Amino acid sequence: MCGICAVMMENRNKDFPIGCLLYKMMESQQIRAQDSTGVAIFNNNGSNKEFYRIDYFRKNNGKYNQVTKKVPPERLDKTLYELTLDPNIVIASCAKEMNLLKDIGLVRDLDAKYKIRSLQGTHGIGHLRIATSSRVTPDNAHPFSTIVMPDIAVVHNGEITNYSKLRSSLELQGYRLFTRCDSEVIAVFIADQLLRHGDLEKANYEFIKKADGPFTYIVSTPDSLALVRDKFGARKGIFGYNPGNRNYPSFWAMATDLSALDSVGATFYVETPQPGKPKIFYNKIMMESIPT
Amino acid sequence: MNDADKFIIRKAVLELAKTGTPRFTSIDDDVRNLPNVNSKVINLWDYVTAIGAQLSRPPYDPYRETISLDISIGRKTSRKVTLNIPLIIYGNIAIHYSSLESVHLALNQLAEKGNVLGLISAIEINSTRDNKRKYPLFKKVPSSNNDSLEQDYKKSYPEGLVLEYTDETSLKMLQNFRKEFDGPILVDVSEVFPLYIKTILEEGADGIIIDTNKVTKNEIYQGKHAIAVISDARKAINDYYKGREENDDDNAILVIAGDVNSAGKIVKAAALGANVVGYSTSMLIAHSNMYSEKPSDVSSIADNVYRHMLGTKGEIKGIPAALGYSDFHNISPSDLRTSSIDASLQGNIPLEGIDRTYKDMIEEVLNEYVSEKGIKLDSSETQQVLRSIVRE
Repeated sequence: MCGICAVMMENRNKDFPIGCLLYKMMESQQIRAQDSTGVAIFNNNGSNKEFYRIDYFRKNNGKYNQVTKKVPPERLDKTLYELTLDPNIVIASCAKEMNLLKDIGLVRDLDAKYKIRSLQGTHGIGHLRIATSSRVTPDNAHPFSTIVMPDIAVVHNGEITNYSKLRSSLELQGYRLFTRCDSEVIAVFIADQLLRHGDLEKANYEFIKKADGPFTYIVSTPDSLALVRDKFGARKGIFGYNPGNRNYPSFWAMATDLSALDSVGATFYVETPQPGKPKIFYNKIMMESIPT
Repeated sequence: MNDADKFIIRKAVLELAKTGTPRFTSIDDDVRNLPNVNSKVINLWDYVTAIGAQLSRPPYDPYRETISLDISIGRKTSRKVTLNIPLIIYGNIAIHYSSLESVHLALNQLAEKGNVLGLISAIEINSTRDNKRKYPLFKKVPSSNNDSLEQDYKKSYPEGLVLEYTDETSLKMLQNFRKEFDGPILVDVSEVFPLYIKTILEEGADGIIIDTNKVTKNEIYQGKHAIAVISDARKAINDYYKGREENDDDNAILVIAGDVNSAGKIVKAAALGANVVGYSTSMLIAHSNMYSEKPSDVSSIADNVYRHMLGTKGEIKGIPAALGYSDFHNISPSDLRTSSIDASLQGNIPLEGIDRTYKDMIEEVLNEYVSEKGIKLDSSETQQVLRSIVRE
């Protein structure tokens, strides 16, 4: 019963506070889940060329402190390696263009803590979690990212039933997973596929082929979003378009519930992706994808 | 949604409304702590069913009734063999020819209905024109044979070969056969396990066969359970693939034979890492004949074997379906739960009710201790200490 949502502004518009749109969509779906909340907002304005941002949680006597570290590219590998040696550290994200914020509590709590409504960006994803398998802790909140490659984030509704098998095959390849949450394998799997061939659509098809169980997820990269449903379509997922007006730009929105699309006026061209067929939204080709 | 699910959701919502703070346990934890679920936990399989019936799993989704059992055998070979049921009847050369003939008839009947399973046999079966073989045959090659495949083995046109690994001459045979034969070659390593797995896979074997009955009689495994053998065999294959970027479809398979002759044991073996189960021919005949009042002629045994295998197929779909899988081969050790610390250690299986293995728990305690005392241990040292504690 988790809730997921995403927004992608058209024409690479990066000045609109999309955190505000995500907040509205998440608030309208809060009834679905109340355990924890998180967003990942991308702003590829090219301003940050110097540093990678590593967000991690440090566990100490059952308490979680969120720490952010900025490191130059030449020290990235070494820093990540050192952090992975500490068993009390859970790395949440490694990013250049992404701002990933998550915590336990409701969306209003996350906003009170991080002012998510004011965050600008080209696109972003949001998640509301009701914990089904792993514990309710900040590190188990979504979105999930990975250190395999920077700027990948995933939000997920449902269950990857063969999580254990997928996890061991990824670990065999030498990838490190930090939590016991099934959603983390999606992020690592997609990142691994992107490293192999760089094709987001192919990566998602590969995941659909390998993964079992009912799921819908949204994966975000610096210039694209993919809305994916399992091959049986056992979990919901819809998208719609808001053509914008003189006060705000046009955008595509994705969510679990229709109410979320209603809440931001994305009620044009509403569709649900075919089961087992990823729907990809690229910044550059969005105008072409609108039916005329 | 059943009453237990409704209860959990109601409890979670009320808790939130009352306290204003979110829960710290997950729904899985809540389900396991429900008195009506716990009271029903009598053994492993009841528990698996209980897990399968909880909120987050989708057994009530009718789509989940579709469970694929298909398995493809063959790594880089040009001729792959696909089984629709992950079973190979492991022919015992000691059984009577008429028994083998009835198995032949039954396997043909099954294959005609789209239920293809394999047969490993050293004995030639005389297919008549009316009853030509329709299932894959894995021809068992005597370990003393060091000749070419010409004449002897091409005669029956087997889809696959089975080679018994005994010593270094077996390796030479494998190398020779690999050059000449383009179908899958399976190597029975029961005599030498846990040695030579890496070498055998490097020489192009498409899978290894392990008879747990034989292996547990080896000195290394004396006193250990078949769980440990299956778990170690899977680990050995995984270790071979460690760090390699092979496509999963090219992976070598693990065939577990021996004491696996019921649906429950087949599912357990699969969860522990077996891709295919070697079902003993003599046991199959015994099972099939047990309740028969008819005299044991070839066709009546064949009919019983046919019905027995169809029944087994239905049974082995049940547990993966309850666990929310659409593919039988997705079951993993974490889907089993055990109350025995020994089994948890031997097969890396989570302990009942806590969803963590014994080793995981010890690791957590060790990490907490190390962090509390400010001791500096790198990951290999931690693993070393851990191994000495759990006596791996």
